[in-house]
Amino acid sequence: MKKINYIFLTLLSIYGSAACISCSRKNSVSAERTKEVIVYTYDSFMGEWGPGVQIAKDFETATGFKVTYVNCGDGAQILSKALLEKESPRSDVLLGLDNNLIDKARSEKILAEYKPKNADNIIPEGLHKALGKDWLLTPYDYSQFALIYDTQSDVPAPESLEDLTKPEYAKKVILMDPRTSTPGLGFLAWTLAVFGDGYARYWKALKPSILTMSPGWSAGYGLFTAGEAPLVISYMTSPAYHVYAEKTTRYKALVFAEGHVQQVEGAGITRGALNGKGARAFMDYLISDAAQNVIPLTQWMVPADKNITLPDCYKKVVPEDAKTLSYNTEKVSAAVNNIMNILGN
Amino acid sequence: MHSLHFDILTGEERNMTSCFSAENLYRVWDSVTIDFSFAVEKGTMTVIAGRSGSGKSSVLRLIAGLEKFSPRTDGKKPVITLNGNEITDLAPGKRGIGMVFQNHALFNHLSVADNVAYGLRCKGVHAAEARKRAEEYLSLVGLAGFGFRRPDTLSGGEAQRVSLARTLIMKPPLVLFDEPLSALDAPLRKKLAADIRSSQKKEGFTGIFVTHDIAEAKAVADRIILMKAGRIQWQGKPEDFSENMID
Amino acid sequence: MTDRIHAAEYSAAACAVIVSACICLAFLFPLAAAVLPLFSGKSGVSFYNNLFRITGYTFKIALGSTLIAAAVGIPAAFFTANRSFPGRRFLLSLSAVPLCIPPLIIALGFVGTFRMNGVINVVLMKILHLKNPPFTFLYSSAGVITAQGFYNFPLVMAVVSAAWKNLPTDERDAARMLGADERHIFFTITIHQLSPAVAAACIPVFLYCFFSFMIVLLFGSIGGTTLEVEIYQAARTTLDFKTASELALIETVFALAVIFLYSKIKPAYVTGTPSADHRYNRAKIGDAQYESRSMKTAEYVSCIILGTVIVLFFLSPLAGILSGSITGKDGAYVFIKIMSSSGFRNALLGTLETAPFSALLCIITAFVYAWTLRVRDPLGQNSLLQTLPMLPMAVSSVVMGYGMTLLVHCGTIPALITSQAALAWPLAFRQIYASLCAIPQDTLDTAELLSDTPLDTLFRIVLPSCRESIISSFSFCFAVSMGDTTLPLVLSVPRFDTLALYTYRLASSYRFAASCACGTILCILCILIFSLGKKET
Repeated sequence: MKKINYIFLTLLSIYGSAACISCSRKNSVSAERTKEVIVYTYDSFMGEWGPGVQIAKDFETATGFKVTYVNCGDGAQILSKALLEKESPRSDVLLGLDNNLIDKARSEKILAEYKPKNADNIIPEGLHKALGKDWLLTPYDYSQFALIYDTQSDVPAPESLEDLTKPEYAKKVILMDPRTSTPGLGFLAWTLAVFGDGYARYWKALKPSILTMSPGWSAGYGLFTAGEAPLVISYMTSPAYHVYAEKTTRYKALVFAEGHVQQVEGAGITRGALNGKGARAFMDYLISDAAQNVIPLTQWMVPADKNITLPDCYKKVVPEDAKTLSYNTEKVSAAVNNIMNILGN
Repeated sequence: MHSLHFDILTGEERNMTSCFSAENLYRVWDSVTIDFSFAVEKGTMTVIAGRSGSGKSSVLRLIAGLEKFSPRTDGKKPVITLNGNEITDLAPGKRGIGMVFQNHALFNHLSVADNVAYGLRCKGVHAAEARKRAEEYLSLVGLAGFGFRRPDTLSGGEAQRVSLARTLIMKPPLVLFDEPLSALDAPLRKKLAADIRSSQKKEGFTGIFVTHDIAEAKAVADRIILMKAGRIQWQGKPEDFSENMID
Repeated sequence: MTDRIHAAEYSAAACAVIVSACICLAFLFPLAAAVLPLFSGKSGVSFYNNLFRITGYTFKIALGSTLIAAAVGIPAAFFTANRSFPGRRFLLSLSAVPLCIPPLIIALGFVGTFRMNGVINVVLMKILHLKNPPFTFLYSSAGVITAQGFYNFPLVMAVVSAAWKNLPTDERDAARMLGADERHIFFTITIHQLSPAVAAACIPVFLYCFFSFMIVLLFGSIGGTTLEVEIYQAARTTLDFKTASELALIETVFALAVIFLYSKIKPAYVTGTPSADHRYNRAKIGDAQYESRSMKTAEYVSCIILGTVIVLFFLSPLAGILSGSITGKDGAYVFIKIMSSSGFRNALLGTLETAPFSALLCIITAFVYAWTLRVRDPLGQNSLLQTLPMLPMAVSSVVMGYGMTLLVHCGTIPALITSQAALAWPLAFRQIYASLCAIPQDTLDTAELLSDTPLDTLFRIVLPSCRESIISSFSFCFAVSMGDTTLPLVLSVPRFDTLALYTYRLASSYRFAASCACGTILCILCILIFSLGKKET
């Protein structure tokens, strides 16, 4: 009889433990959770050199809400993670989606509309339009995509996208994977904007020039600064970092006469966020002076706030005369699979 | 430690017509030191008998060239002679010595016929010719028609016969037998011992046969050398040997 | 008192059985879940036209890596089995590297050593006055194949060396007596004797390379992608579940075919025992008894080539991890910086939260199955029961993680622990089963006659007899869990990190020195745990 009791107790305790394993959503939100704002973002934003740390600190001082960043990898992976959790979202804010991803975010209904306080006075019309004119995403920074060139390398600076297909650029270009990285997707969008339906031909010709396609911007740019290749896809504003931190003008953003596409990065409140109040406070803070002033010297992008004055290092090396191209964002997602197939053959 | 020590200088041996002689062979192991000389008459079967672990197999391996000699400090040089030729420094395959191993050592990935023909193929004999001769020798050992079988389908006795055929096909003047019957059961041992003897008479080779089984020794030997504690305890004709000589 | 002990024994046994059943279910359910989207109404962006390409590339990578592992491992096995030389034991001890150092670390090492500005290229360019770096294979299939092949060569070397050492010598002696020279003996006898061992070594290596994920993810070639990476991209990035399931099914079916082949070959690989009278004497290199002069020269030359290649492609990347960590702008201080960061502390805690439990579940499941097999099939004749523990080898970490994500919708720590245990328990099973089989049946029968209950035999005789293998298996599974990057990455447990995942995040954001430092720490911990377990035995 005692043996049976022991067995029964054992079974019961195992069942109890198993019940604890289940990942069910709590109906009531704990007190701690209401003080916390969970932000899904990418590695360079929340890393020790990015703007995330300062913004979180100042936000907590200003509002009492604690920010917890969750590193999703690169921009495109934020969207994937949010989609996976659609039925039971764990995030409050998605920070890092851009003008190439907004269509999908909209169609999947993972964002809740919210217009931050004073947005009309802060955000230029162009940026707001780039993210769809609804307030699913609020722009917080932007920049044109550009190839960054190492002036100390032996190869001449290319003058157009087509130049990159020349033999002298074999294994000289670092790109990012468009499936996981917004700069990777941005470069693809750029080729669509320049070549239209002929982009497939271009990518076939470009293949020998690509050294590697890194999973994210950090890895790719890190390879570039380590000297692995003299060209990398990045932002027109990237050289400002090297002027400011390393006191060098070695790395140059190349302006192509054919024009460049622009990335507008935005943040939005997750539909069904557990801490809606905190999320709205964060969105308001993100476009405030305090947060926007942090961006130029940490994020190395142009802040969305039209009233912010850029530091001198930007004026020194960031070209202002580059033409901005427009393109059909709906074609970008469809093109991803196509170029991955082209590169694989 | 005990040592094997054969003294060549017996009156009987001086009068022998030696086909094979081994002098000053020396090998040091952990528990035994082999240090001996002996001679064998042409066309005879000499049996070296003794308890297990006395190094009898090692003696054969030294003669075959499969073991190296240990260096001597007394200036004596090991010399092995076969049919008047010194073979001490020759590679095992060039000494003109054949060897039948305890566990037959057949090549399992080859057919029986290919096993028997292996040595001929090494010497460059054409495959068809080698096969033909292999079939002849298989008949000699009573295994006609076994050519296409695989070694792992043979019984112990059959495998040992194949091993014998493989050795004899090379027509070696001297054949070493390293306890070839110990893995077989008693009736089979008797039969195979008789077959070895009849092969010897047909082929005319000289044999050195190592065994721990006294009955087996008596069955095959023309001369028995009995070892104990590294010394020759007794040597002579099989009919003069009795079981109570062993302690 | 006796009653209480018996009751405790029954409870423990019941717990163990239930845990094992749960782990088996934790294997089957996610596997089923991973395949279910195939039957959903939603249509995925099907990769049918690229299925052959991706599968072919995966196969090419796996085969190429296995060939390199064999090309280096077999000659290395020749030297370690048949020759004595300084460093022989060290070379054999390298077989621990693929078992206890995660592939992520090797990937880091290769990047550090062979990148365009890596140590090797910089030195060679200086010495040979070259304009361009000579080694540019890194970001290509050749880079992946080289990294994986060299990473796994010690496994081939260890298995083939053990078999070579124990090859029965009589067949070779018989061949010598029949006039064959050493070269002829190798090609007509030795190769055939060794082939089961070579196959038994190469098949698991092929499987590990077939499932390659981390190395391909970090520095794969343009457009070159393996099934494993594509499943991950489809499951976590493009969220094309139907494609992920298609690829998962193909990958698993292929791996099952390989496992089936392995199960047929493994019984044929039996290590023989050398003849009792013949001590095993290893000659020095170039000093073997029967070799011709040209063969001895060839031996010297191949030894030099082999040594160079092993130093260049195996030891240098390992050293490159350490040097990569201290040649950053913080120098050796990077270790202090890393260890004092909250990210590292959280990651260490996360590892300590998961690895011990994963290892515990592994050995419980392994022991229950091993004991059941020992009792039900003492002669090892039931091929189905003998093959079942190999099934988890056919399922990759990405497929398991993908299936588990579909099942539980969000990654949790228990989900991670059970997934790791569900895949790793066969590693513990092999060791524990071997030690159970080493207990003579007579001993078990006697114990059963003298014991009060059957569980008495188990707790008082069997478990103590297997103590060493249980401890060794525990440490092994602990090290494997500690080094696992793939499952934590795929499961993406919120606000949770492990050392391996933390290292990967540092590497993928190209904080190279920091990732090397963290990788070095992880490496040291893995080796420590692994060695502690070995020491106990």
